[in-house]
Amino acid sequence: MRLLLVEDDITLQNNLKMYLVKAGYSVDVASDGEDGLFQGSEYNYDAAIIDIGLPLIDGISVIRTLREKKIIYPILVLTARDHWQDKVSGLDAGADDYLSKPFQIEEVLARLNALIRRSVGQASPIIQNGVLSINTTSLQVLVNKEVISLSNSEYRLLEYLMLHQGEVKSKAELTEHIYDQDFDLDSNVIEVFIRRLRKKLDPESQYNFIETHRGAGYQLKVFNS
Amino acid sequence: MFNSLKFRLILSAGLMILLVLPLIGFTLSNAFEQKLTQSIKRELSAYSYAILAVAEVESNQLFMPEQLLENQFNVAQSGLYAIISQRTLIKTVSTEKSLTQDKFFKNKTLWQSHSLLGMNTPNKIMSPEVGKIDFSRIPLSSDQFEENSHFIFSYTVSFTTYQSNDSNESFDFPITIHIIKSLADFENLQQQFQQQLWTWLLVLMLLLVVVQVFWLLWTLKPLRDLKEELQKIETGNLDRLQKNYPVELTQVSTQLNLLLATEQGQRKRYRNALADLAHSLKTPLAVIQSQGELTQSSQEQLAIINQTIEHQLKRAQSAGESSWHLGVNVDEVLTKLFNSLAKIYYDKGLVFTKNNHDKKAKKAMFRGDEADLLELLGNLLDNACKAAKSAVLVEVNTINESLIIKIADDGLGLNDEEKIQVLQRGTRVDTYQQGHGIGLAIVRDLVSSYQGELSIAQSKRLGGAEFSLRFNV
Repeated sequence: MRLLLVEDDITLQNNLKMYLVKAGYSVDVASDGEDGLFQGSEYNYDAAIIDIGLPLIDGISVIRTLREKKIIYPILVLTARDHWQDKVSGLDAGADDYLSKPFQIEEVLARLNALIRRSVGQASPIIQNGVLSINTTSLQVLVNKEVISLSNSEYRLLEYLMLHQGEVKSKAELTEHIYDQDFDLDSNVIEVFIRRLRKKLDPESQYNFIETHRGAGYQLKVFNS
Repeated sequence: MFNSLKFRLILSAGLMILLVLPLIGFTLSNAFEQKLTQSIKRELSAYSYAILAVAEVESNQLFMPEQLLENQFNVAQSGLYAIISQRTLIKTVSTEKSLTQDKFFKNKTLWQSHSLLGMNTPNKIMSPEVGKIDFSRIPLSSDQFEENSHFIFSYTVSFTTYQSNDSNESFDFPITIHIIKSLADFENLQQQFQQQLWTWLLVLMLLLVVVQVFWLLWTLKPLRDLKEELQKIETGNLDRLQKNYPVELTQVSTQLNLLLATEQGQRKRYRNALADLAHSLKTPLAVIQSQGELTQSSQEQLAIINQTIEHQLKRAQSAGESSWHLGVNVDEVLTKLFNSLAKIYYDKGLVFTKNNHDKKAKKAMFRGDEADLLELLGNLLDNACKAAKSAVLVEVNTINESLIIKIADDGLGLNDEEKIQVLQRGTRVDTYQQGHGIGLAIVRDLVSSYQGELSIAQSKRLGGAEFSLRFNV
C-alpha cells in the first residue's frame, strides 16, 4: 500500500514514516500544503495522512482541493486542534477520519487499515478468497488454514491484489502502489515477487491464484468461499 | 408604557389637537362676534341719522312724517323700531353738606315708529348726554322670557327752537333717538358662523389625527426596523444591521455593527491564537510519543500534559460568559455532526435519528456560540456513538422558554454510581480506546458557563444512556 504523509514537523514526519514503513506501507512525504497537494494529485495513493496545520496551504484546503479534483482515496486528518468545529470542518472538506495529536502509533495504523479496507468495500480486517485469506491487522496469510510466511514486499503485493480481487492490475500500477516514488519502475522486480508468491501460496500449482495477462498485467482470480 | 417614545409623541400630538384647535375656535368666534356687533352699530347709527333727517321741531313740538322711508319702521313688529324720547327733569334735591345738586329725570316718549304698534315701549331706556351715543342691549316686553333680546342705539341731539314765530327768544330742545333692532339676525349669522367654524375645525382635527398617525408611524419606523433587525441578530438570522437608518440613528447602527464585528472578530482571533497554541504544544508531544520506547510513567505524564492542555484551552475558548449571544440553529449543527460521525463510526453502521420532522424542533435556536454548541453536542454524540450498538437518537424541544436537547443511545447505559461519576472531571467509566476522559468534563464546564443543566437518565426508547441538556432561550 502506498501512502502520502503530509506533516510539517520533520521529526514527527520521520518517526511516523519509520513506523508506517515498518508496518508494510511505502510512504511518500510532503512538508507543506503545496507539495502535499501536488503529490496528492499526481499519484494514485491508497490513502493519505494530512496534518491540518500546514505551511503555504492549510490541510483543510488541501483536502478540499483534492476532493474537487475527484481524487477519492481515503484521507486521515491529523490535528492538534481537536475541537469539534475543526473535526467537523476537516471531515466536511472530504477527510474520512481524524486523529488528534498526540496519538498512539497503533491508533494511526488501525485507522489507516480500516480506511483502506473501507475504500475497497471491505468491512472486516480479514479478507477471504476461497481457501486463501489474509488478516490485514496481524498481516497473517492463510491457505487452507495453514499459515504461510511471506516477506514484507510479498505481503504488500498480495494484500493489494486481495483488495482488488478479479481486477487485472498492470505491472506499473502494482509498482506504484507498493513502492514509493524513488523506486525504478522499469525493473522486473514485480515479476520476481509474483513468481515467489505463486511458489509460496500454491507450491503444487493446485489453485493457480494469480493469472498472468500478457501485456496487461496480473489478476487474482475470485474463488467461492 | 409611559416611558416610551411612542407615548410621548402621542401625548404631544393629542395635546395639540385637543387644546390648540378649540382655542383657535374660541378666538375666531369671539372676533367674529365683535365685528358683527360693530357692523350692527354702524347700521343702527345710519338709521338714527335717517330719522333725524326727517324730524322737525317747531315751537317746542316734534313733528314726524306719517311714513318713514325705511319700510321696516312702518310695518308692525318688523324687528326694527325707532323711538324718540325726551328727558325731563322731575325734581332737584339739594344736599346741605355738598354744593352739588342731585337731579332726577324721566324719559318721556315723544314719538314711536309704527313698527312698535301692539308692543309696549321699553321702560328702561338710556338717554345719553347731548351729542353722545349709547349702544347696548335691552329686553322688549313682547318677548318676556328673553332678556336683552334687542340692540338699542341711542343718540341725543339738541334742537334750537323759538317759543313763537316772532319771538327771538330761543331755547334748547334735546331729544334722544333710539333705534331698536332685534337680535334675531345677529344670532342667526353668529350661529351660522359657529356651525361652519366648528364643522371645519372638526374636519381639521380628524385630518390632523390621520396625519399624526401617519407621521408617528413614519417617524418611528426606523426604530421599529432597528428592533426587528436586533431580534434577527439575536436569533442568528442576521450578522449585522443592514438597513439604511436616518442620520440620528446612523451612529448607533454603525457603532452596533462595529461592536458586533469586533466581538466576533476578537473571539475568532482568540480562538485562532489558542488553536495555534494547541498546535505548537501538541505537535512536540506527538513527536515525543512517536519516538517509540517510552516508559509507562513517561506515557502517563504525557497523557496528563495533553489532558491539561486540552481541557484548559477548551475552557478558555468558551463564549458562555460573553454578553452578546447570537442564535445558532441546533438542527444545522446536528446535521454537520451526524455527517462527521457517520464517517468516523462508519464500521459500526450506526443509525442516526433526530426528531426534525417537528417544525418547532427544526427551528430551535441555541443562544450562544456555534463552536461551543458543536463542542457540547460533539462530545455527547461521540460518547453515544462509542456506547451505541446500532442507534443514536437526538431529540430537540423548546418547552417554556427552555431549549432541551436529549441524546440517547442503545448501549448498556449507566448505573446510578456511574451517573454521578461521569460528570466529574477526568473520571472515566468507559473503557474505550480513544478520548482522554475529559469530553464530559468539558461538556459540564460549557453547560455551566451557559447557565444550563446537564442530567443523565435511561433512554425510554433506546434503553441506553440519555444525556439531557437544558438551556434558557
